[in-house]
Amino acid sequence: MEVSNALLFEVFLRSLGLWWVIIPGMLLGIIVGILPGFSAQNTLIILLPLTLYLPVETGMAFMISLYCTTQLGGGIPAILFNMPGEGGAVATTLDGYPMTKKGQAQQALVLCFAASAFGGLVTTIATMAMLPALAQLGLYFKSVEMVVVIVFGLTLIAAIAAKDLLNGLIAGFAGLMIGTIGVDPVFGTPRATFGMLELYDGVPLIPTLIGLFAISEAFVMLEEETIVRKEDLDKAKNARWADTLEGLRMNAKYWWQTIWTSLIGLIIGILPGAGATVAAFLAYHYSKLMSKTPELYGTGHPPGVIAPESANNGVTSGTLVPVFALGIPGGTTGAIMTIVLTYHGIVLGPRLFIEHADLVYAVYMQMLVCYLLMALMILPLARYMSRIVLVPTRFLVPLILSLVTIAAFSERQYVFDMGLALFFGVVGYIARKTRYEVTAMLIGVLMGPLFEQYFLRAMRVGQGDLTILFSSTLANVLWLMVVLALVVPYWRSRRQQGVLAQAAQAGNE
Amino acid sequence: MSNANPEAGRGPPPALGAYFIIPLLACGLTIYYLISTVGLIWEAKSTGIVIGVILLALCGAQIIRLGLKIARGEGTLGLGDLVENNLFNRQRLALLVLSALFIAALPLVGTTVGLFLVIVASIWVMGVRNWRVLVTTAAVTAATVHLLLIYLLGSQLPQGVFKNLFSFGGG
Repeated sequence: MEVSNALLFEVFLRSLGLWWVIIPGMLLGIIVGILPGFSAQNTLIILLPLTLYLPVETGMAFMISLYCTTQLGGGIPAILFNMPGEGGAVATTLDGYPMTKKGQAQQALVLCFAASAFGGLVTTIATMAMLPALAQLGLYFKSVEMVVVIVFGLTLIAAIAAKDLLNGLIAGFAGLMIGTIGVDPVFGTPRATFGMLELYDGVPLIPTLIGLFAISEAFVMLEEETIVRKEDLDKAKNARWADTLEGLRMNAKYWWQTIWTSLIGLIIGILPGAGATVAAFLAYHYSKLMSKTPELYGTGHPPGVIAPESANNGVTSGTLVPVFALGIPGGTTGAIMTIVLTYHGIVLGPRLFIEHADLVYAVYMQMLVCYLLMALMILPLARYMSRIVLVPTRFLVPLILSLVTIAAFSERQYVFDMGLALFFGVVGYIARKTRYEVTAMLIGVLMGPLFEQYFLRAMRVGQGDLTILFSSTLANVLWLMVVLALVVPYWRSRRQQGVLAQAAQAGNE
Repeated sequence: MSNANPEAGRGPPPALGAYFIIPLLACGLTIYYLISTVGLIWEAKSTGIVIGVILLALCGAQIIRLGLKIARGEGTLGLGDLVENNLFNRQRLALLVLSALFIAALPLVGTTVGLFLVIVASIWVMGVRNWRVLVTTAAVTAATVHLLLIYLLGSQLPQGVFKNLFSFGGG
C-alpha cells in the first residue's frame, strides 16, 4: 500500500480542524484519568450514543483524544498522592511519589506529561510507518507466548522483592492468591468466594488498587503535616517556571529511554489482553535493568517516571492496530471503536487499507494532533497542579478517604466494592507498616488472573503437557529474556559488592 | 513500624508481632482456597494450588525466621505502634469507623448528603474546629461530586431518601 505525503498532509490538516472535539475529549480524559474507577472504556461506553451520532472521523477523534489523555491523567494522582488513577499508572508511583516527597512534584508531573506526549508521538509515527507489518505481530503471540509475556511482568515482583526477598515474595504471591479468587476461566466454577456473589467475577481491580494504595497511603499520610517532607517544604513552596524547564531538561536527557520504553508499550498494546499495566511494569523493569544506577530506582529517579508513562501511552497506538488490520479488538477500547466503525459501514481488516486508507491514517493523525496539543496545553499546568501537595493533611486525608471510597463504586456500581476497598486499605496499611510491598501485592492481583487465563488455554492446547510452554522459537527467546531479567540484577549486585570489597581492601592496604 | 525494625540492633527488642499478620492472613486465604476447591477438577484449581503451596512455604519460612528472632531475644511478640494508644492511631480508627458508617448509611442517606456529613466529621477528627471551614469544604466537595459524577457522568451512586432534593441534578 502506497501512502503519499500529500494524503498524509491532507489528513493532518483535517485532524487539526477537529480541535473542537479533540480538546473537550482531552479535558474529559484527564478528569477520567485522575478519578480512580472511571476508566476510558467505561466513559467511552457511556458516551457511545454521542460518538455513534457524530460523523465517523469526528467521533473517532473524540474517542482517541479521551483515550490517550486518560493514560496521562492516571499519572497525576499517582505522582501527587501515591494513588494511581489507572492501572497503567501504578508503576509511576514507584518513583513519582518519592519525587513529590522530595519537593519535586512539579518536575515529576512535567516528566509524566512530556514522556506521555513524546512517547505517544513516537509510537503514533512508528505505527503509521509500519502499520501493515505491525498488524502481523499479534498473530505470532498465541497463548504460549502470552504466558511468557505475563511471566515477564511477574518478574518485577522479584525485582521489588530485592530489598527484602522474603517479604516481597510473600506480598507478590499473596496478590497472586487473591487473583485466583472467583470463577475459573475455563469451567466457570467458583473458588474461594466466601459465598459472596460479588466475588464470582474475581476480586475487582479498582477497589483493590484504591485500598492498597490510596486508603493505606491516607492512613500513613496523616502522621505528617503535609505530603512533602519538612526539609523539602521550602523547595516545594517556591516552585517556579524554572522547575518546569528542569523537568523538561530531565526528559530530554533520557530521550532515548522514552523512545524504547514507548515502543515496549506499542508492542504490548498490539497483543490482546495485556494492556497498559503490563506495559508500564515491563518498561519500568527494563529501564531499571538497563540502567547504570539501578539502586536509584524507587527513590525518586526521573527514568522511573519516564519509563512507565511513555509505555502506557505507547499502548494507545498499539491498541488500534489489530482493530484496523485484522478487525479483531484486543481489548474493551478496541471493541468500542470497532462498534463505532462498523456502525458507520466501515469493513475492518486488510481491505480497509485499500478502501479507506485515508480513514486509518486520519485516526493516527488525530492521535498525533492530540499528543501535540497535550504537550502544549498540559505542560504549563504542572506548576499549578503541584501546589496541591502543600494542602495540609488534616484536610487532604479526609477528602482522599471519602472521595476514593466513592470511586471504588464506579467500576461495577456495587456498594460492596466500597467496603472491599476499605478492607484492602487496612490490609495495605498493615503491609506498609510491616514492610510487605503493596506494589508487589498489586502486581500479583493484576497479573494473576491474566496468567491463569493464558496458562490454562496453553495447557488445553498442549493437552496438559507443560513442555508446550517451550514449543515455539518466539516463546523460547522470551523465556531466555525472562531468565536474563532475573539473573542480570543479581549478577550486577554481586559484581558491585565485589568491586566495593576490593576498594575497601585496597583502602585498608 | 518505625520502632519495630527487625534489623535494629540497639535499645529494647523490637515488637515483631505485627510482622506475622500478613503471612497469617495469606495462610488463612490459601487454606480456605484449598478447602473450597477440594471437589473441583484439577484444571480449575491447579493455578491456585501451585501459588498456594509456594505461598504457604514462604509464609512458613517467614514465621520460622521471626520465631527464631523472638526465641533469641532479638524481638518480642508485641504489635508495636500498630495498636499503640496514641493520637494518630485514634484518628485512624475514627476515620475507619466513619468511612464504614458512611458506606453502611449510603443507600439510606445518599451520596451527596452522606459525603457532606462524613467530610465534616472526618475533618473534625483531624483537629479542625472552625465550623465555617468544615461546612464550606464539605459542601463544596459534595456539590462537586454530585455535579461531576451523578449529573455529568451519570454514575448510579445511591441517592437515598434525599433523591428528590437533588432531582435537578440527574436524580
